[in-house]
Amino acid sequence: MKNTPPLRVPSLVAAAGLVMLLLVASGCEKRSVERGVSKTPRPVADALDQEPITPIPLQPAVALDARKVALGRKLFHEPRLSRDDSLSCASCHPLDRGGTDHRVLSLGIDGQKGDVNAPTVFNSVFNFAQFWDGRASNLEDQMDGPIQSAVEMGSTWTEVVDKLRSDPAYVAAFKEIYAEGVQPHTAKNAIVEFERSLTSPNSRFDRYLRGDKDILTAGEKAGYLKFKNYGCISCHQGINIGANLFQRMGVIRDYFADRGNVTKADLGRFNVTGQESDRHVFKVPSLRNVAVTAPYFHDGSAKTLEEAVAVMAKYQLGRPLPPADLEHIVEFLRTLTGEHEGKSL
Amino acid sequence: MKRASLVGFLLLAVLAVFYLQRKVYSNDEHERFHSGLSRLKRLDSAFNEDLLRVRFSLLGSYDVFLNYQEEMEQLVDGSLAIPSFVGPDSRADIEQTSRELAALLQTRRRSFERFKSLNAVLSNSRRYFPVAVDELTRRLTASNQADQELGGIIQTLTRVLFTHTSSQDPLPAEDLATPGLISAWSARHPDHTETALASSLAQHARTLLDGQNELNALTRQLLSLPTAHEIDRLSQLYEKDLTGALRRTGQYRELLYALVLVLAGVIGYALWALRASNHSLEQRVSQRTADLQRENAERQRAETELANSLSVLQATLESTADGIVAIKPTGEVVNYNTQFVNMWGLSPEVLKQRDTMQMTAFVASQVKNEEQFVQRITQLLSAPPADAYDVIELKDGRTFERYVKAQQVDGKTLGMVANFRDVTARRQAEIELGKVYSQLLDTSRQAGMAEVATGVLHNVGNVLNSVNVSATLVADQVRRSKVTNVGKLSELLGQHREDLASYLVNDPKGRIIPAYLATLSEELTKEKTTIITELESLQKNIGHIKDIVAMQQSYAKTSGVVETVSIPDLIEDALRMNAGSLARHDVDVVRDYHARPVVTLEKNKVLQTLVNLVRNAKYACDESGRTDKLLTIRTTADEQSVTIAVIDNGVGIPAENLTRIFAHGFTTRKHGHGFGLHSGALAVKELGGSLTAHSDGAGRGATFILKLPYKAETSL
Repeated sequence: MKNTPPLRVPSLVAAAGLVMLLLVASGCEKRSVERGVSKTPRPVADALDQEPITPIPLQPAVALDARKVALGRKLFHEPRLSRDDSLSCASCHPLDRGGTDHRVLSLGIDGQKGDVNAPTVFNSVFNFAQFWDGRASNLEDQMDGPIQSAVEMGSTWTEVVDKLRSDPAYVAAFKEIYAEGVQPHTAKNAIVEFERSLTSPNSRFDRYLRGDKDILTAGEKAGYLKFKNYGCISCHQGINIGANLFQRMGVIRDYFADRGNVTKADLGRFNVTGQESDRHVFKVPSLRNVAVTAPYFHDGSAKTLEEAVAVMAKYQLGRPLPPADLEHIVEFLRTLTGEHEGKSL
Repeated sequence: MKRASLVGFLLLAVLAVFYLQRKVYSNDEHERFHSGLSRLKRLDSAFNEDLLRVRFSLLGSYDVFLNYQEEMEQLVDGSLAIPSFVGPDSRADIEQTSRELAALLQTRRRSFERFKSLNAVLSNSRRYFPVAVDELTRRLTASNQADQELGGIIQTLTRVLFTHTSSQDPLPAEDLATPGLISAWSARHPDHTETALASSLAQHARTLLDGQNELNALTRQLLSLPTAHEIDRLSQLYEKDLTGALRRTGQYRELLYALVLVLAGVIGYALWALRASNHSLEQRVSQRTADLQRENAERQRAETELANSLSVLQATLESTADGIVAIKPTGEVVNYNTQFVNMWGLSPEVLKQRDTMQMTAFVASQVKNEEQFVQRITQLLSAPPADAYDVIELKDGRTFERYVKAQQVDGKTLGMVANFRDVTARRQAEIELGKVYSQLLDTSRQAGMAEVATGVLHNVGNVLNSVNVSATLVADQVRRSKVTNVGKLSELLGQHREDLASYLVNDPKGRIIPAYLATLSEELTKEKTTIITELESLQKNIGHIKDIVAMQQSYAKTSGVVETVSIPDLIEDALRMNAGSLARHDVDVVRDYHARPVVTLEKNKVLQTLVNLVRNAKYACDESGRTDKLLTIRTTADEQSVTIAVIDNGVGIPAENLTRIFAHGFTTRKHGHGFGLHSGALAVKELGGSLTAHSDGAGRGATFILKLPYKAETSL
């Protein structure tokens, strides 16, 4: 006993035993961390007497990762995301111009024309589905569209990632945030994080909803009332004033018969589901910032708000809309322009 | 100890198994799954509730449904993890049910999309229809035929729509055709001002008629989707399994507690053992520390001693009169002292080089035999002997002695130390000493002769004693002789001359005379024999004395003369010279002659030595006080020499004295002068022989061995 080496075995037993006890006591199981999904719970009104439109939160419900937002912003403005390094996301969604290029149809690489009007990127995080035909259910999936579309950016993720990896600045920036470095899903994640930051809270109407009843003019208030009474509100409700349901373009009258020259894109959601009931069905667009995101509709056919409201009254409501009422409704629509980074869009 | 740790590990293993088995029930997982199920149920019912609210325009936004859908889908698609303790069968059932629920949710999503679109449109139409009827009715005039017609149609349409909205029953075909009446009316009155409004009304009525049924169907379908049933089924499946899991968990928990208690005991023991071992370890550490400190101190002392020794060595080197130089086998000079430098007159330049051959070259010219000197040093360096001795004569008359000693460790020569001694003075002294030595030799010889003479006188004295005794005996004998009785008898016979015959026959006195004569004659004969015997002894003793004297004379006379003698004769002479004292002290003499060689040497020197040895032996025996005093003289011979061993069984010689007995003046006897052995040894050495002593110690006798060559060296 005296000459045996120091009792290493018992001490090991003791140490291991203590660890075991601690384990038993704490039940330390790790939960898998789920990958972020772009869906954000929409702030909704519970009470019956509340307005069908909800203001955009002044602060995002889920705190954003500033590093990812910064990287995403850089990538959003990165022309190397297109095949010939000519176009970035911001080419069609310039943030200083309401997040849309204001063209009837956007221009892709080599000057190719897209088949639908580019919607604004602002508040896209609140959309229940992406694209006019709603074929992407979240922002991550949405991104594959423009990047890989031959008429838009014409690239592939492999190509994009290769280009980014050749830039040490990107490699370093990615490495700092993502252990995996530059990968399609990390690039998407960063851009989505940035897009989540692209909200436009604090519009005059939101402030009205928050209780500042005097911020709207009488005409604007009248416009909102007519907006509801005429039934615009049936589709354009919720936080994004639309963008939470699909609707046929031409409910009461056949819009496409009147317009003519029907394209494949005009089939809308039919292209996605193949169901007859989805023919000419589109995602109801958000009316937020509608005053600064002309032209309107999937085909970009309405150049002014008045024009767009008139078309809606004719084809969707199927009722005559007196010019005064139209004016008021347009006045109301102009109160929906929000702010981004403290500046009005 | 081994067993304890084995038990510990065993317990740990069991505990680990139990820890894994603990998964039988996890409250955490249960809570998560259970609350997930509850949440699903709540979301499902909320969805249905809000579906009705939105259907009847009590809810203005569809956002809430999106939240319901997303959360439910997320839960069903995976975030609602099935607890790990759920058994495989139940798990499969739950997963299957989850899949069915997920499919139902997808169905609901699709139906609900259609519901939203339809609901939006229908609610607008419902809202607008009365407005349009009111507007149109206001514009119509009763007088106008066409207006009356249209009014009727509108009334019918209103009734149909009311009926339709309030009943689930399918409408008759003619009712459904009502909106067509407006189209027909418009065709009949194409120029009527209200055509546009009328056809708009018809369109909305058609929308309502067409859509109402679909919306109702959709609502029913959505409400009747068995999502709630599926969720309940999930709960049932789970709870069924949970009961079993809880029971098993209870059992495992009890066992786990028991094990934890045992393990706690083991840990306690381990900690105790650890502390105990730490304690012993500490002790050992402090012990070791103390040891180290002591070792350190010892080392320091040793180092100090070493340093002292080194300085002593250096001082010794310097203080010695000899010139000393230490060199490596390579010839490199390691060390030297001042005396060495001075003896050879070495210059600082040569010393600086520290090379043996350089030094040799420098000093060679001083040596008489230069060539041999250099050659010898080269030889010593190339093949270092264990030691070597040389005498070096210098041209200036000095003589150096060189003693080279190799430093050897494990048979390897690490270096050599050369010791130079200026023996010039000693040489001269030796010459002087030689003279003194020969004088001493003469003296000692004379001393030896005196010894012999003493012996002779002693012997003669002894013999004279015997002579005196014999003479006294003879005188007494003669004085007490019965011869006088012969005179008295003669006188008696003279008185009776005449009657001699009768006197001899008749006289009582005369009758005993013949018998008396016979007795007297016998007595006288006896007396005569005794006297003759004593006289013979006397004669013999006198001859003895004559011999002794003659012998002494012969030894004295033949000193320095070499003659051929028989060793036994020589030994007999020596014994004879001591015969008296040997006999007197009862010392038995054993002659053990293995050889009877004849040698040619100075007889008297050997005899002198032998006499001394015999006498010493006798003394030794005498002093021991033993009764069986024994002196053995043994001779042996080989080709070169003759050996005479004088062996006694006397007092012996202590080991410490063995080396000293040959020294001048050493004696153990009261009246000894310590010269006998010394001179004997010297004498034998002169003859080219040797004298050695051996004793097993005090009281164990001694042996003196005298070794002589057959022919004495003709030295001196």
